[in-house]
Amino acid sequence: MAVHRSNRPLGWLVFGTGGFLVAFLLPAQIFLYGIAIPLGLVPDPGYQSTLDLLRQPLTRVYLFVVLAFAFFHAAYRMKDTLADMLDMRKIDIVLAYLCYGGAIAGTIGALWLLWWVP
Amino acid sequence: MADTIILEVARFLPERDTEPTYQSFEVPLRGDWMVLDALTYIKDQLDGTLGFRWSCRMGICGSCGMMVNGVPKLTCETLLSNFAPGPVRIGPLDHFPVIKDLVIEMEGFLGNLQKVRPWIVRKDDFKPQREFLQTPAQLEGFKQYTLCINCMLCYAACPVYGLDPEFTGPAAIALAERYNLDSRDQGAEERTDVLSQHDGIWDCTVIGECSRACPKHVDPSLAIQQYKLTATKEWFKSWLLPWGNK
Amino acid sequence: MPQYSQFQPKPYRPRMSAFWYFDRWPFLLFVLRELSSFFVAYFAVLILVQIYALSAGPTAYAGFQACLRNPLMIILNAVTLLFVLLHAVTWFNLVPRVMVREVTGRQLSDFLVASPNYFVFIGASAIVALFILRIL
Repeated sequence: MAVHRSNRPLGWLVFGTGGFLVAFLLPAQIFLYGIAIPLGLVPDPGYQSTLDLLRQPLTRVYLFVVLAFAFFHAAYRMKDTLADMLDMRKIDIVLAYLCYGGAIAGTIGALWLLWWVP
Repeated sequence: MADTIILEVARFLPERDTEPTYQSFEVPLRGDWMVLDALTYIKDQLDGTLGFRWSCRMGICGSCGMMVNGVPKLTCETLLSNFAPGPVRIGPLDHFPVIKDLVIEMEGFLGNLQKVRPWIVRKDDFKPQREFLQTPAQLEGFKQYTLCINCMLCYAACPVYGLDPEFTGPAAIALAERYNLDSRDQGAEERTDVLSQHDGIWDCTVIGECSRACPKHVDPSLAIQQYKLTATKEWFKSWLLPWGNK
Repeated sequence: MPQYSQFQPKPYRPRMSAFWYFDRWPFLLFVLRELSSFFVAYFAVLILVQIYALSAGPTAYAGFQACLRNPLMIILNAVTLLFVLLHAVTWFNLVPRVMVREVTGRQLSDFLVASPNYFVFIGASAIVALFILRIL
């Protein structure tokens, strides 16, 4: 093919998968850790119990997958939104580096933190 | 119901004005009148210089698209008494250059339409000896997208097109998808070259206003998202099977 | 575009207002839906902080939890929850019907396509909750 096709499909596929994961899995976590436990609406599982949960290999894999997809899903949408609101559609390559750079940083951070859980 | 209703109609004469202004007209409020009837009344009885497009007055030609109180509508299908007591603001379709009054410049849309090649494309020298057979299931796959009357209400509704006139736009993409899904067509690859550009399907951020504005229920937003799926599959194929280029 | 001659008057080219999304409610809903991505990114970072605090020891985690009890944090997380729920609802109403259309070539009713997602949402949330509350 002589014509260069956009590479958006890859970002879009990750965005789509991330969208499903975020929609199904994140609200419960936000509600419990962010609202219910701090306000005492549910019994606090406690430090040791939560650490035990985090230590499981399955939890680490789960969190890594959800976080990685959440970061790249957010990056795709943030880049488009910023491009629209700041009228930067023609030079959105700058925003692409910013948003996807952040997503890569977040994913590497997640990998690092999850690897070194004691 | 009152006897009359006020219409505030956009007026723009390029020799005289730098931007449109609104002129008020008082027209009879008849129960069976459409907005187009009111505009025709204005042109016949009140001000013959008013310019606007119309043709079939039955919602099939797609000529009479205008902004009615900020919403893109076919004026031949919009009941005037819905807006009683008024006033009703009539303006030219959003996101298009205005030539005069309610008449817009549609070259941009026609260019977009042409570049997606909205006709049956064959790679072979097709000289059929009999009818081309198509099952009802095959027809149902694309029939909805054939209903487009090129009225451009979806372009007036789409903020992305307003911000970026290079965007191919809802109707053009829906028509490209109509032909891609047609079992008689073999031009999917050519169209994908055009539509896989940044201002092809990927400008669309799924606002969905195009499908709400469409008077024929074509649902161009669905066509665009369906095309994104197809384009993604093609993209993966081109990376994983680069030798598969026919 | 046709070439306009020097003496032919030029058409009026409207410019979109910078705050076009305030013009109509569906536009505002769209922008709010897109803004949810910022809150998703924020909460993902918060999860990273939580993992760090857990790894750092009980005092660090106690400090983290005290931070979460701050009213401002509660409000921020409540707002985050609302935005992510907005994302979820708009997602369920938009995305599955495209996949149904692509796979089957037919359009089922919007209700039939969207409703299974809500059941999956309830199920998934229940399972996540059971793990977080250490019942599983």
